[in-house]
Amino acid sequence: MKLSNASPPFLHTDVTVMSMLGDRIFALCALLVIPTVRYGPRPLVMAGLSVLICLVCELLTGLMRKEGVPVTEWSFAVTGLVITMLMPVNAPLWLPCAACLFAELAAKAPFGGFGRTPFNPAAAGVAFATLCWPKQMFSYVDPAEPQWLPVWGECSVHTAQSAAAYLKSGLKPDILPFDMLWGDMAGPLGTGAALVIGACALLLFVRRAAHAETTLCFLAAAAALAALFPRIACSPLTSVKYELLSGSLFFCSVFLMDPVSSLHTAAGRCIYGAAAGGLLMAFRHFGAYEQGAVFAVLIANALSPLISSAVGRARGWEGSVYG
Amino acid sequence: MDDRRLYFREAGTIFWNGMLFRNPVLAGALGLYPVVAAGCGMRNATALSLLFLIIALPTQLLLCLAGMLLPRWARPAAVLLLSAVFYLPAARAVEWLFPGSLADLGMAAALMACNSIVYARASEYAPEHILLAAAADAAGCSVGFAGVICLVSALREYWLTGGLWGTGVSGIGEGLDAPFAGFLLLGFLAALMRQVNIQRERRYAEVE
Amino acid sequence: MPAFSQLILTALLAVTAENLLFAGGAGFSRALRAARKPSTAGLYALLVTLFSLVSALTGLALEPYLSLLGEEWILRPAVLTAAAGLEYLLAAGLLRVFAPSFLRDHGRILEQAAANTVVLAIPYVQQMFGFHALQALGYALGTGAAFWLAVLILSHAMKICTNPDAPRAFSGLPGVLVYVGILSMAFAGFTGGKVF
Repeated sequence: MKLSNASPPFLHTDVTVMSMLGDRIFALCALLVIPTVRYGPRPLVMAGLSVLICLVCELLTGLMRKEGVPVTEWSFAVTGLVITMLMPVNAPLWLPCAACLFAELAAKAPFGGFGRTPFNPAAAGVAFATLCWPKQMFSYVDPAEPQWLPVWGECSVHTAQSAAAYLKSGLKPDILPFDMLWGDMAGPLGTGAALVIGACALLLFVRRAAHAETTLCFLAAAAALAALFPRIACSPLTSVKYELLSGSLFFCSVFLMDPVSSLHTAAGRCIYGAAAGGLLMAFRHFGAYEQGAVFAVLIANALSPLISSAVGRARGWEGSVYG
Repeated sequence: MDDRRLYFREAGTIFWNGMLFRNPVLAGALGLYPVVAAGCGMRNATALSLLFLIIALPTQLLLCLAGMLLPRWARPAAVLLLSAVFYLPAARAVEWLFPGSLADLGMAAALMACNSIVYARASEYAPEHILLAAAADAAGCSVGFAGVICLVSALREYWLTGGLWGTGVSGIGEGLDAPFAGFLLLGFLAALMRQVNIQRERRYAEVE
Repeated sequence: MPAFSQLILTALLAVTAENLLFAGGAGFSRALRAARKPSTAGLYALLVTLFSLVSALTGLALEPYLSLLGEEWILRPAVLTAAAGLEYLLAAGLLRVFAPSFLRDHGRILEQAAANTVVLAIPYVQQMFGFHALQALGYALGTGAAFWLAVLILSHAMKICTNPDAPRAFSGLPGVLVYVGILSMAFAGFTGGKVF
């Protein structure tokens, strides 16, 4: 069977593109609650600005191609919100805007927009921001001094090292894994509250807006490598807890494994998820930055057509489901 | 007389194609390495452009004159050997004009001796065309390569340092000296070139 | 470290953090051409691997003499490029005598594999990282594997970038260059920036 004219995501009949995107937006908005309570309206302003930039870019590229933007096409909002979640709350406001511009204009528009992007646009935008402004990307507010941050303008705050930075240096983080569940630690805006992310993941799986097998295989591969090759002197179980709860691993396993750049067979999705998890741990061990999830996702995106071809050949299809 | 004018006009077309409309980097995806790896400063870009010109022009002219005397399978070796020979005066000239540039450029300068543009044009185009066409093609490709690498380098240097030719103090950000920035800029420039060609085709179609 | 482990480790580095193609930007002109005919990817990569091995051995053999020459960045490239030309001539000459049908059918792939920036960069990378013989061989093997992987990825990228929804200006090569740029960005996450 060849599906050469259709574009992803390929959804079950009772799920539409609009409902899938709507569920993701709802889940991402839920992740904004705790940071807003803790730091004031700044996270909301960052999210709003990011979404606005993405919308303006969509409209501009639509105008240049003499096409409109469909009302059901809310992927720009997902991109903007994901980018916001991966930024520090004290990041200058131009930083998520720059990431959004890159995501829309370099990772999305040249390939034909939603459904045709070979790479996750949000991952590409955050990767670009990480390479160009690493100091701003890894400077986090010290949670020991809770305060409302200024809505606009620079944040002159005490900063602290994230748990991921401790692990990168080979040190045990100064926080217990149990305390990491609520996100009360230095790190990106929306990736710390593991319990909330878990609840969002369940919602997306039940509503079929995300593939559970991709996320589970991602986490399983990361956990296995964390247990086998711990970065700190501790038991395998402690290593697994710290690795899964630090950085943006858990968040990326749910929100960056999107149906567009993912595969369309369960076996393919499992391999894809495992590959992404393995790559992430490779970046954590050997990469230059404390957070390497977005880079791992980009490489996994590039490998997904190869995985799809291999799965198709193993099943006796002519190379690939696509033409 | 008419034939000579026709030859020169054709040579002009070949030059313009090499420089712009069929730019070897933007349309042919040749010579990518020096642009993406070393095209991050105007000084580097100028040095590489000069290296390219001094290697490409005599290599192509010689292969134009003697290429058909060689068996097809031996031409690649001839291109590499001639490029190696002409690399010597090219490197000396660049080092004289820009002292220390070869050491700064490192592998990027060294690999100009086997540049894929020179290889493709000298082994495939030059032996099968007349001398004027080969010279126009070499000149056009040289100017085209120089234009692309200088433009990409200017953008990257401005981002990194806030100025050109080493005059910058503080830039916009880091990271753009890595190859990914070169590929991205080339992609957008290639799209711009493609759009220009699309518009030209539309205009010619309307005229016809 | 056991010799075999060193070989494998260097080969892995050649595919990941010290990938000449994605982290260094070398050899993409050839990889793009190879990607247009994915059925020849295996043979192309094999020839790149063989020429990389020969280039590594040539670099090691000539290193004692090259280091005696002054003007390192003027004479060394000329000598190594000439050596590459002679290596190709030798390979083509031998094939002409012993396997003329192979040369007739795959001569283009042979010449493009020999005159490949990736292959010619091996001696410089060797010198840059101070590889000894085993590491140099491992790096050459890994580079061949990286080239094969790049060709496979690019062949899929070309199909993705010529979809009907892509803007006409980005359809084909421009889209592929942007694709390669984003993928190269991912490899930069290993190194934090420029490697070569």
